[in-house]
Amino acid sequence: MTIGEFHAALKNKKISARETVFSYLNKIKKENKGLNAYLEVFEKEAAEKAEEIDRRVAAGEDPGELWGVPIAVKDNILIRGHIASAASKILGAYVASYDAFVIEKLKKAGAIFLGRTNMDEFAMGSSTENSAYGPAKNPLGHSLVPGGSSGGSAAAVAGGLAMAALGSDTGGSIRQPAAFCGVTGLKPTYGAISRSGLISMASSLDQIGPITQTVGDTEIIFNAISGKDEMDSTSVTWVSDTQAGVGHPSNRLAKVEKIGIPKEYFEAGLDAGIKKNIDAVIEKLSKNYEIREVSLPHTKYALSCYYIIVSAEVSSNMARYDGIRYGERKEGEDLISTYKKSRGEGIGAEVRRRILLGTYVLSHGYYDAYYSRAQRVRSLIGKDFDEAFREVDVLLSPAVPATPFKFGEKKDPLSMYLSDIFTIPANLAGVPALALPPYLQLIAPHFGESRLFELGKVIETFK
Amino acid sequence: MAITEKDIEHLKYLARLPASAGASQCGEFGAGETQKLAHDLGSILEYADTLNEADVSGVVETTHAVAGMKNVFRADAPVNKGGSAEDIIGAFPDKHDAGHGTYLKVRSIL
Repeated sequence: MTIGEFHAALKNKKISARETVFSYLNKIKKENKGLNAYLEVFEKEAAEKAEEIDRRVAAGEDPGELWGVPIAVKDNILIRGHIASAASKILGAYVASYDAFVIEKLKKAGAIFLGRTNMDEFAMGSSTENSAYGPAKNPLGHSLVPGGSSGGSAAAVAGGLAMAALGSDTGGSIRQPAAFCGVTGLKPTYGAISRSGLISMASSLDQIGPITQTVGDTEIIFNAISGKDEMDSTSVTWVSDTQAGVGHPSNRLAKVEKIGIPKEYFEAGLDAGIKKNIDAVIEKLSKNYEIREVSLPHTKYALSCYYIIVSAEVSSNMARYDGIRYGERKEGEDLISTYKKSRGEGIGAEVRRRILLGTYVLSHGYYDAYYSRAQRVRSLIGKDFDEAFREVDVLLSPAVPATPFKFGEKKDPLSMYLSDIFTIPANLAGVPALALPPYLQLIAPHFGESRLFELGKVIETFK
Repeated sequence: MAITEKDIEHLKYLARLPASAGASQCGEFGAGETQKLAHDLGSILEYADTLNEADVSGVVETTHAVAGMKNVFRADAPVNKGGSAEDIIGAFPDKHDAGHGTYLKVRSIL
């Protein structure tokens, strides 16, 4: 059942929030052991909240669109009074002392939180294999990874263990698992949604976004959680895609007429089956839209650029996990050995690899060669998009280069990083991007989310 | 760019991560970890060297994630997000109740 369908049924008193929430809780009880999508389920709280919703509906209140909607929340988004571990050991017992902005918004909108979902530790990874609590499985086949880092959220939605979910996306962490699990996921425009209460990974790239069954549901959640927040100075006032001062005047054209196909995304390395599916979608779209090939010439540098910038930001963001004020502390002989011991035992392999890489690229003598150069290339990647969006309204590309891989298949870090090759550029440029079946990605100019929803809904009718 | 095992040990010190000898109990980061890290970082940096092919002459670094954003200030007033002192104190890994309040406990620094 989609959010839209559930809302109509709740409004017409054809269904209760209680029976809906219990049907999800029962399914979780039966299937989560195999799927490992949830790290913790908030059974009692979800049931209580559902009963409250039912009482209010029975009392004659008109339910809001998200009333009683059971949502799964990625484990790096803070819910007051609940553990938020980011699937790490060092925060394994950390209880959030405040609500993330998006949680506050969803609570006010009447949504119900089913639990916190599995992910790659501190959102670093593309398969959930970096979770300190064992990987989540792909509902399409348990030998396959669900993608990552928001793999638990995508698996929960795809497996029917949640009506919708929240994830976070730094280089593809919403879109890649959504694509792998066959659901829909949005990486919003940087600044569209507050990051307050999101455990930081790379602050100039991180965005929270929805993972849902349909484009319509993505739109509903996006509208509910976007907006300016005093607690995040990079969040902006949401004025749909007519955002003044940011982006381009052409953004004001909400209707999609011209679709760009970025040729660099279809070069060697793209799975033949995925390409065939996308070609079929383009063929159908060509009846009603102008299709134009465009070029984003700096795409080939995106992955290198991304890993330099991410590692640099990670090394600084992860410095706060030292076992002093919160999290797991392991006492050493002196303060510095306490830091080292706490971090050594509490932080996993991939995170440590990125901390060291970031420390290296920011160190004296290497800063210009790596970090400064990467930030310049980032400007070029952003310019590529600016130029493309002068010609077309939306870009259509694959979301991933290949279908889901098997557990243990990607052993060296670089081959794992390559699975994000098509999602990374949108983060570097800050533009919004939507992943939807079959392995598709739509990209719009800054604050052009409405174009993604408009075209996404058209593509959904092709099924 | 080749990364040596000595480089890794130095980076670990800078990043406050334990030296290899002390990390034998840490799964993947056991005995051969320095060697593996040197190899991994070396190959990632080698891949990153493709950035050198990009012509960045005259290109300005991206320094703000939101284009056109200026310094953002808020009023210098307390902001209460609903979190309480008890919640924050409750998260301390080690604490000391002094009778007139609870303190975060750490090893002596000097």
